[in-house]
Amino acid sequence: MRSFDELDFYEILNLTFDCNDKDVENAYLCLMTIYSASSMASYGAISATERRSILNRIQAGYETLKTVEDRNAYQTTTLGLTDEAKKDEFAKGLELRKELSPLPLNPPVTGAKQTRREKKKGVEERSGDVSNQGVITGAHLRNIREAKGATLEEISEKTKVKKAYLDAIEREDKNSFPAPVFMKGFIKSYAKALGLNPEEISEKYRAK
Amino acid sequence: MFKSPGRKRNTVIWAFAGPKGGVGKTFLTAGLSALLSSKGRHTLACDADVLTPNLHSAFGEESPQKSPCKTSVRKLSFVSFCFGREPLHKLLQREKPEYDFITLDFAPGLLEKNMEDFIRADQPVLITTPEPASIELVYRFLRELTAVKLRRIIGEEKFMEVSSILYDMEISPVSAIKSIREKIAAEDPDAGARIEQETFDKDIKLLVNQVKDHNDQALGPSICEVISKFYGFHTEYLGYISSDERVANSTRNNRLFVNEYPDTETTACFSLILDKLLRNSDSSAGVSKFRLMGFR
Repeated sequence: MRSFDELDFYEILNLTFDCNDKDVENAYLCLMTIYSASSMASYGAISATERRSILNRIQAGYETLKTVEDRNAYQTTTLGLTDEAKKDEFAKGLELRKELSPLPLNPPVTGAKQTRREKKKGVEERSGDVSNQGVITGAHLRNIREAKGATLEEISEKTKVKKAYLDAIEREDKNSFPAPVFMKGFIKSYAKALGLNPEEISEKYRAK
Repeated sequence: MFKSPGRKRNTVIWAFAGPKGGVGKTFLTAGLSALLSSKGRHTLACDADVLTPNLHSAFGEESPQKSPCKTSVRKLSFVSFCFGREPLHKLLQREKPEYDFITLDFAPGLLEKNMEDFIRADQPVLITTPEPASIELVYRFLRELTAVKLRRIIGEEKFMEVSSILYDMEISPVSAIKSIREKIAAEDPDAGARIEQETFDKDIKLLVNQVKDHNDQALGPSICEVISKFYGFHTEYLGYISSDERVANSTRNNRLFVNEYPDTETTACFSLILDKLLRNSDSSAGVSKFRLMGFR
């Protein structure tokens, strides 16, 4: 059993070699949420020191594996794999993907009247692969911001977006905005300031 | 799973434990046992809570029962383990030939001897709820379980020498076991190898009860992620049970929720979890395909 500081970045992010940019981004968002100081999932599980270390590792992993070129370079230099070995791992990854337990972002909430079978199916889907249909909530953004140790004031200064608006994004309070289009713009700036993909975040943001 | 005289039964034991009271151990044990027997499996639900037995009321019984008795549900029997001093595994050994499945409802928290019984079950299921206190206690429970396993591997005397490392809350059990292993392997390489192989060799199942919204739904897999990196045990997420206000009503009237409200989302959750448990048990290998990481 290896402790987390002995795991490589693929293992830290629970990724396989066949992952794409989106998988890396999703894994990063999930893990930052799970290990942020305000997360319930890791409540009382790890000390503050270990929390800082794992968040640093996740951040470093994300930056190292962000694009396909980055991943290739990491596989060659750090992991020291030949092209042949890389191909093997890629194939293994594809195979494993079928069995992998996806980490959750946010599953959709289901509607009203359903038959028993539909109900069961709905629950099954929600317990199953939910990361692809991921929704970004205000809490996700807040968790990532806190994990990076940034205050709302700092983000506000960086983005030139009023702190009250940033706060409203985190609370998913859309009534605070003069028009939806403003909110969309603000979300993009906020995402950019956090080092996330602005288009994707604004697309997946739940309360828009 | 048909009963044929003379054939030796391969009785499967499922154990349910929760890190604290009120997470729904009894509710789940009773509901899953009832659904299991409705699938034609002869089931014995066993109340393994010695001090505060209450599984009997879930089946509408007035008091704990010393020997197995039939319940109102077909093929479902029930027994309480709060009489005398017979060890639990002896009782199980005696009753095993009669049943396909035995479900165990443990006391909250668990004493050390119960931990042994829990981990020995074919499927040890840990139940929690979406609240900080019960999640924190899940991690505490797993640290305790690690201690129980380590003590069994290296013996009481050695354990006392190194236990302070395991109970150092600054480091997670995985890191603690690593340094304990190095320390012990320096004197006794064989013991070191056994620590490496056996400490986390048992799969645990996790179940989240009283789930209210999508944030709660995401909790189970997230806890499994933390366990896989910091607590060493390989954990399979079984799913969640959604919260339903009628549960309190059923419990108050000593009725089985899954029978009283078969067409609810909550009961759908029950039967999904049952399917998963059965799949694990019927494939008999007992090893789940679920792997969060470690493909190399």
